[in-house]
Amino acid sequence: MQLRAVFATATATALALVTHAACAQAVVEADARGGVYHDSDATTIVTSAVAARAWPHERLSISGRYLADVITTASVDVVSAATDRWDEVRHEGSGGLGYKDADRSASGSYIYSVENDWRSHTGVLALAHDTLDHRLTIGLSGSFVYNEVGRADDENFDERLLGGTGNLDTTIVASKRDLVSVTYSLGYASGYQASPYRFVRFDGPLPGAQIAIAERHPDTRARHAVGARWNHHIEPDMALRSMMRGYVDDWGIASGTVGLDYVIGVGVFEMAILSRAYVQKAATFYREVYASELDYMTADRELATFFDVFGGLRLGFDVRDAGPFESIHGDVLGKAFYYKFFDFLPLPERYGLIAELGLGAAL
Amino acid sequence: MSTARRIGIRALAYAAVLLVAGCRELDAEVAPSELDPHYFRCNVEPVLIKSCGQLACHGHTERFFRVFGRNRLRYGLPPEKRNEPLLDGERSHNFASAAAFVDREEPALSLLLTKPLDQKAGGAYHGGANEYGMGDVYLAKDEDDFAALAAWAAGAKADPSCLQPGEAQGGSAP
Repeated sequence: MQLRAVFATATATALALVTHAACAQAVVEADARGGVYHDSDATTIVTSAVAARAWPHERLSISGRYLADVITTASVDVVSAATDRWDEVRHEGSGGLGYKDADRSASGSYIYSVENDWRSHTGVLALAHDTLDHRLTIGLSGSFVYNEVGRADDENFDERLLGGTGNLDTTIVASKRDLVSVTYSLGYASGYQASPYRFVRFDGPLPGAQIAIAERHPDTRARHAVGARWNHHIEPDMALRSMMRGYVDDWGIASGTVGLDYVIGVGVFEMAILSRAYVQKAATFYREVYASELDYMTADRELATFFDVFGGLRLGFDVRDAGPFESIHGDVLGKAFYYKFFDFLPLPERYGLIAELGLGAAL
Repeated sequence: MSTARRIGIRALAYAAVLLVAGCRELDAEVAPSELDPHYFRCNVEPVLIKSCGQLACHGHTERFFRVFGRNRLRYGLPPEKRNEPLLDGERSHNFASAAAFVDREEPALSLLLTKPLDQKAGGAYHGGANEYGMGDVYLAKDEDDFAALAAWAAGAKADPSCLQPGEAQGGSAP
């Protein structure tokens, strides 16, 4: 009830600000985005999203977004849970307020997400401060998420998962052509982290007749990540954007990510060639085959040892002063990906495509 | 480099390792089950074979929870020997399979109990209940067979002499 009250208050405030925005002829921006994901594990996700942002005052912004995911899957996860196929829709709505002056910015947002077996409330706060003539920006952000975990067709399954993150990031204008940022993230989750649909098998008294047990994950998980980004402008309309990130958690997972994008602008158009690679070491308690019963057991491939690579192309445009609009922008994105699982028997590899189309305008 | 600085760097490195790796042992084997094999043999296994072990249900190799029983699923026996007394290995499997569905910390929440119990009585989703549309195996917790399962999960013990002479040879056909 308290959350409902908070949401109602935020909505009322948002409406008041939008009304004020209209009177003050503030800038309003709206975007729509659609996407399709399909992979070789028989999973298709169609995503639609609309978002709007308004500036009722030059220093204040208000934003809102609605997103819907339509998921159809017959993946190995689903089949191993003795279900042939399922379809579901996830709805997500969010609203936010932002403040920005010459040196500082602050923002807060709330996200509500619901699907047939999951409901979550997320709050995000972020602060940033520019110093040294805007050559250094220090940012601090944090989030808290409250999840209600259910199980389809089970009126009595009711678990909780709480999580929080904190991020500290520093962005430095290293030269006229170079922008470097470093981020440290700490995450902590507590509560039910397994899947009620998954069972794990281990060797029993009879060869070939394994014993099954419901998946068991530790109740808590602490995560640490350090990331760095370097944007280097080769020419005024040409840039290389690179990133790397290292991650560890107390489940024993260690991973690394590297990414490199090449961006070139031609007039109102922009083209980006995107690439990313990720490699992960499995959780301590993950086993390809369990020989005996352990305290914690999982059948989650995301806790296995794997690597993935993504590559793609994004074409965008941004036209200024287009008739009644301050700007019209849009982009088309196509990505291909490949996952190689080294110790997950039901799915040695997975590959697929992601396509997105976005259009937006600012008044 | 000064000693104090070296100690400081080492302390930071040690703290970083602790922070990163954590101190938890997450892949320890569980202790052997303390559930009573005699109570299982006399009061639980007959219930599982009778109420769960049908060939279309948990007497099927594809089920996560699998029960061997006479005239039902057998381990490596040809169809004409399906009515032979249960083998020791089959009984061990049935015990281990049932024990794996018992929540050691909160026995009342064991899948062994919540799966066959109708949701209206506090049970969990059970594919079998949906499959046949007749409600779940047990509609209430006070049914005798359910009570036997619950008692075993909660730690009930039985004397080995609970076995009837015929049952000691593998149990009667359901």
